[in-house]
Amino acid sequence: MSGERDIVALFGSAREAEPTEAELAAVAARVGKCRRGVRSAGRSLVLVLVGLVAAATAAAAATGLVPLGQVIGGGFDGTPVRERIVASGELPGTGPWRMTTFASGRGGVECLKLTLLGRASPAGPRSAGYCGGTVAFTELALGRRRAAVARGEAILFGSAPGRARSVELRGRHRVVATVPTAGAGPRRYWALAGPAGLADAEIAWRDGDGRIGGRLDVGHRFGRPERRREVLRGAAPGGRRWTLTAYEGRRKRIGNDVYEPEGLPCLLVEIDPPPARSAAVGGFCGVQPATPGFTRAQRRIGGPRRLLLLYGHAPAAARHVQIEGTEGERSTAARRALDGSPGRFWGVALPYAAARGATVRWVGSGGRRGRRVQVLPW
Amino acid sequence: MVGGSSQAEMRGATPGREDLDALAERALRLALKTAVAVVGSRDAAADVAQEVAIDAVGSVHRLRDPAAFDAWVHRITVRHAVRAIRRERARRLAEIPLARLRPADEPVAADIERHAERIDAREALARALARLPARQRLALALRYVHDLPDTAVAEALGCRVGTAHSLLSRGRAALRGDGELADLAPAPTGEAR
Repeated sequence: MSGERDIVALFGSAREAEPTEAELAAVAARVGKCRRGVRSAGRSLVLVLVGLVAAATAAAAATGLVPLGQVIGGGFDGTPVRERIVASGELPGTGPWRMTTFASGRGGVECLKLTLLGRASPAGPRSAGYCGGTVAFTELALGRRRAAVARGEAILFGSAPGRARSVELRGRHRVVATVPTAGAGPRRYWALAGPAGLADAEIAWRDGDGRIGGRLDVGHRFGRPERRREVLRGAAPGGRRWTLTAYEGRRKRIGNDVYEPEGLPCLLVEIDPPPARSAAVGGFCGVQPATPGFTRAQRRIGGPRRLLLLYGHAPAAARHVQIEGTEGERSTAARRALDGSPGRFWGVALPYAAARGATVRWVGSGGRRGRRVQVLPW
Repeated sequence: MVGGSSQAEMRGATPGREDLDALAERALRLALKTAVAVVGSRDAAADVAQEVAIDAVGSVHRLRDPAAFDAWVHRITVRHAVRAIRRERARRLAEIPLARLRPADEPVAADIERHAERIDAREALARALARLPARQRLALALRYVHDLPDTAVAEALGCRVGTAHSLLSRGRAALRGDGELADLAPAPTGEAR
């Protein structure tokens, strides 16, 4: 455990604690008994407090704007959850927005959601977001291809460290938009809009003294759509599903560090519902020269069954991928891409015991075999 | 949070039962979140929260600034929670795991793995917090449950901002140094995107 986020996550249960109906009823009964004890001098204040709560609720009903900290019903996928409003603001072309956090209905993973409260574009979504843990400085695009392009702008939103006081969007040699961060506490929230097609787009947050605290390359949110294709799906024992998506790498960087080179074949794995102690999304770009056409990547699923997902590319000649470990030999099919495009892919979830120290290789027809690749420690 | 309106316009009116119930409910919700984090069992947390709610309603006439209602509830919660923690220690009760804090939190079949992991985390956090002094526990709860800044934590604890900062620093250091929690902490997300 190293960061604020980890500590926040540990207190997740307490944040979600709500009184039961019986507890509410018990307090109401006791309030009835002590009501006479409220002095007349305090009565006006009680009504002010209640009046303010009621006024805020009425305003919320009328405009959708509710106070920070308010808990409302919501969620992404129809599963009813209680969302906590953490920030709100207004964008020049889009109107008012509201940002909420909540624990997903499918396992209590933390989610962040932006909802547009103004007049919605007929082609665009009103809300967007993601679940699976909030990193310190994130950016997300809201309906870039639909709502945003229709309006001629892309909306980005996310969280920033508590020290962040503003977030700015830069194009090539110029600042396009600057917005103050909203909310309080160890995490702040922001939303901004920029023109579609902005070249060399990058966002940065600044602290109260105007110092830049972090940068993030968001060029991919404004350029041409990435040619992604879902190539393989599978299910791990215990109910988790995984999906492999292939795409061509775009140049993405954080500060001066390029974390995704241009033009390399990339493979992205998404695990749903997200694992408890590792990221829901991961992947890699590039090839393994020692095994042409074949790659081996791995991702921990964990859980009571303690599973490790092995996945990667396979050459066209591959029929199976063979895993040899201390618990014996297994194999999984090397399957064609779901959309019929060239290439084969493979994936299999194994118990830790079977994966530890194992090697993998592809096996083709006629006894052809690739070189063994070691499964790495995890 | 409530606040931001004139008090004078409401003067002279008589509070009804619903008004008091609304305030009590808000106080109960705020206090319960804090209490769940710092006392050993769900039942004890509910007791603390109930006392806070009744206390808040019974002495609401002392509150001068309506906007400070939440902060005022936090101060009352601190008082009651410290008492509860001391009572608990005096009786030398075994710490009841946080896993029991939510009696209605039964996992559905699809969530069973996740549920088991969350219970692990709650139990580990409960044990780690139980080793901290009461005021450190409360400082951490006010920060990480209610997202309060140092100034508000200090106000609730009735101490100086520097003291609150120190309590938070030591509490965080203790949690980070806890071996059991280190094993449970989630890994960084968003990699390889």
